[in-house]
Amino acid sequence: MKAPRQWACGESSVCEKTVRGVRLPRGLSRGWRTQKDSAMCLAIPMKVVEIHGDTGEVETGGVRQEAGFQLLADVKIGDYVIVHAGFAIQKLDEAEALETLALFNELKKAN
Amino acid sequence: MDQDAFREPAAAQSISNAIAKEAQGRPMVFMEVCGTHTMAIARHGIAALLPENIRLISGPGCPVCVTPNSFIDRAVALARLPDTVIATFGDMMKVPGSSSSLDREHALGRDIRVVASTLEALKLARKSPGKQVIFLGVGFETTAPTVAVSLMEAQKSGVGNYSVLCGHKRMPPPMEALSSGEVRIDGYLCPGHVSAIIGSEAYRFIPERFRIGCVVSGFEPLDILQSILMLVRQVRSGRCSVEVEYARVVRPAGNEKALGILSAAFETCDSEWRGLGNIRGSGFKIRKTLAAHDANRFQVRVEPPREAEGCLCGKVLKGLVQPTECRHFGKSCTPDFPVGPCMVSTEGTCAAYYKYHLK
Repeated sequence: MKAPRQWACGESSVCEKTVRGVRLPRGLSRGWRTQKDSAMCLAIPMKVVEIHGDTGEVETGGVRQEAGFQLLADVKIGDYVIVHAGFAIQKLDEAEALETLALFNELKKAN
Repeated sequence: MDQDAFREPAAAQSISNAIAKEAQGRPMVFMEVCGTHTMAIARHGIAALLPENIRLISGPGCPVCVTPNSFIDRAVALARLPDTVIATFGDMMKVPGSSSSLDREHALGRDIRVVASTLEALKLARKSPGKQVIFLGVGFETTAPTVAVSLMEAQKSGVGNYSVLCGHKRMPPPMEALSSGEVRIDGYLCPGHVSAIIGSEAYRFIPERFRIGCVVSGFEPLDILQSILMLVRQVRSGRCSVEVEYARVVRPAGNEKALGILSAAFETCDSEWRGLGNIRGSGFKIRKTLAAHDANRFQVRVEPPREAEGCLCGKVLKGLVQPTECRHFGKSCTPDFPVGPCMVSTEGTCAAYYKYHLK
């Protein structure tokens, strides 16, 4: 198959307004897709700041977003959770995290 | 908690030294089976911190990449139905199918929306009563439970115009297939967030049956280096087991609530993987109780699948070749103009190679 040059867009300047003579829908621009590209498998630790039933808000680095808590039992405000594709999928165990960091420190000292 | 503590250069150097010392020049091949690991390894230059005798290869860990053309072709056919909205994660947009892609269909005027979560897709369905909203369910055990939640909610609240085209896959079956395959593997870096759901016990059969060690790894550079060190120690000592480096998130039994929701919505089935073919029990399909929300109920004509000529994605996914061995790589195939899916996804091996110049 030939590389589909004519209809790739987003980060290239090839198709600003038209694709093979077809006008692009409004709002299709450089940032249109890239904002949500990483939704697939990026999961990062975020702090639970609000809970309203099954959903609520999580925060990291001053950025808040909505999250579903349907997949976790006993979520509390202040918990750190791993958020994946809009859902908290697991709680972060602080004691285990500190233990892992202690292990890194030991290795550093040994060297 | 400070994430930077998991990136400290001095600690990285110490672990790197320990790896070189303990590996003692013995050749070892470790495979990562998670797209986020592939990207993290490339982004943080992990390979440069390893001795020459340790080689990292990428397996089928990028969900978009392992999705076969037949799925994309079905999604394209559904997008062409009248009064239909396709909702998808952004990664799927540019993936070339046999003769079209969602990106192309969108440019031609089909209603295709990028969403960040399944709940957004469900909201879209509630707001569009005259239309059928079809969410493209692609991903492993990390993403599948989030889709399961949307299916249960759609059923509970009677959102009849919400459906899922299910292409979800399970990670342990392809690892089983690869363990007895043509590539020698001395250890697996197991995926962190798939394991957060399924638990580290899910890999126990790999050391037991194939004598290959497994370490469930986190995503920060120190996590990955430490996991490699743990694998080196397993190989050196001749023992093999399942260890968890990412213990702050992964428990042996996983997330039991999520597993319950997963099995309430889906049952396992045979599934086709790009490059690996049909693997027994490696997929999920929507249970009959939720058939009213299964997009397979829509009758569409799907074109016979056709692969891009000369594309080596299938071999890249098995760890048989490096992306640079493909004649399209960096020439006719770039992230802007991808020929194969491994160049499209932000987690694809070819995209990682291209972005970080691992030529």
